[in-house]
Amino acid sequence: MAEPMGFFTDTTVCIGCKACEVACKEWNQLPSTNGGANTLSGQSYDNTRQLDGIHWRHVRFIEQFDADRHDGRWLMMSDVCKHCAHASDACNGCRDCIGACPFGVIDINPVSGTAQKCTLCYDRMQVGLTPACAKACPTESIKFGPLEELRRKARGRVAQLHERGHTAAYLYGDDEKILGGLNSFYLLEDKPEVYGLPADPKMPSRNLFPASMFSGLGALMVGLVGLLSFRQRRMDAVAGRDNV
Amino acid sequence: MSVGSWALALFGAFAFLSFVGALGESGRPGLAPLVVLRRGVLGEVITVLGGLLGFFLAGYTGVLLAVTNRPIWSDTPLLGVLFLVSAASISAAALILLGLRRGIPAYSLSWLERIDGWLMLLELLVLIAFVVSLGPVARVWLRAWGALLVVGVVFVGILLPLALRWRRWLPGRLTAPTAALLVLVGGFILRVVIVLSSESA
Repeated sequence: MAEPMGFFTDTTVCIGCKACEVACKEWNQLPSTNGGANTLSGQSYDNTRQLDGIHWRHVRFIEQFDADRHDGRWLMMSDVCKHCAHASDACNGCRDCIGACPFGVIDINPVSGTAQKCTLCYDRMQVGLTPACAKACPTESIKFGPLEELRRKARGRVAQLHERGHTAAYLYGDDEKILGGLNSFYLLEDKPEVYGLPADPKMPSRNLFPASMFSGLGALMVGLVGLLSFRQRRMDAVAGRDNV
Repeated sequence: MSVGSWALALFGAFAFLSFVGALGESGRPGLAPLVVLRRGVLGEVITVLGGLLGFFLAGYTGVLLAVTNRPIWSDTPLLGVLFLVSAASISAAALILLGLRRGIPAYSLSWLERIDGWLMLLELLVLIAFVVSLGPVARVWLRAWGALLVVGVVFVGILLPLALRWRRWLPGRLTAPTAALLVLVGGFILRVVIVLSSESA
């Protein structure tokens, strides 16, 4: 079996150039506008705003400044589908994935009319090329390769940053604590929520068993109400109270 | 989750067989042999299996919504049972309305009203449990959607029809259809609130 591949995104060296976004759109022929509408956020240089059906890479700009803008910092992160290790790969076009994705990554592409997301540039991988975004990244913030190798590099990078005094640096999604493992993981320097990532993402299937059991219980109760009222109706009929 | 598609297809098949059997019962010339689909062992098998599939479908939509990561829908395991009990209640109300058009006997009407009353009380209990189970997420209903839930579902869709049937405030002929119509309106508002409030949460 082929070695699992994935992304490691080191946000500490992201410069927010959006070359990954452009490379992704060019290679995957994604439209530059949303169904012809070219809208600006109006409150940030980040006009992409989110991952969706036509944005499979999104460089998130996080502006952390005090009230007088004297002191502050920019955080930048190239976000992408997390390629969950235990995700289903069977698509029948029902679009249930849009609401089920723990990271809100999937959405409808208005051109194709289908739910779409990052494919890890599967066509490029078939001929031994790295995904377009990783190839275009000028600072190697986005690294692509075998997951074990990426995890080793990532842990080394965290240790290096800690030695240099950046003790807030940590890895998000590199182990099984998050949904059993992500094939696209990140080096962050603040809480996940600051980067628009959920601190504790949950599998949508967690509700399947309890919700089914409660529904079964409800069906039993409704059935019981029906049976009791049938019995009452028969007793009424026998008593002749209702002109039967 | 394709099990719902299979259940829907099978339910449709059983519902069609029951419909054909009902045509046989209607007494139209040449259709009498079809009555076998409604009576006897075959008729009972079709009715029971179709009914079980109906129960499955009534709860399935709620379970399907719960198996997502949408706010409200995925924050409680009680959405399926709420939809199921509500579906049973509005089904009884729909039968009352249809029955009134076709001159339903008085004892059948009172039987349907009695079963609908019990189902509405059950729905009210499940609705309370549903809101409690949402925990802090239920705060999203401290706005217009919450008001619509209380007024449209609890008051208009449950309490008012129960009160109408109990106190008989309206002239005799109007009580049954008015109460049934209010139950249908409440069931519709329940689904609107749950589906759309998740979008705005």
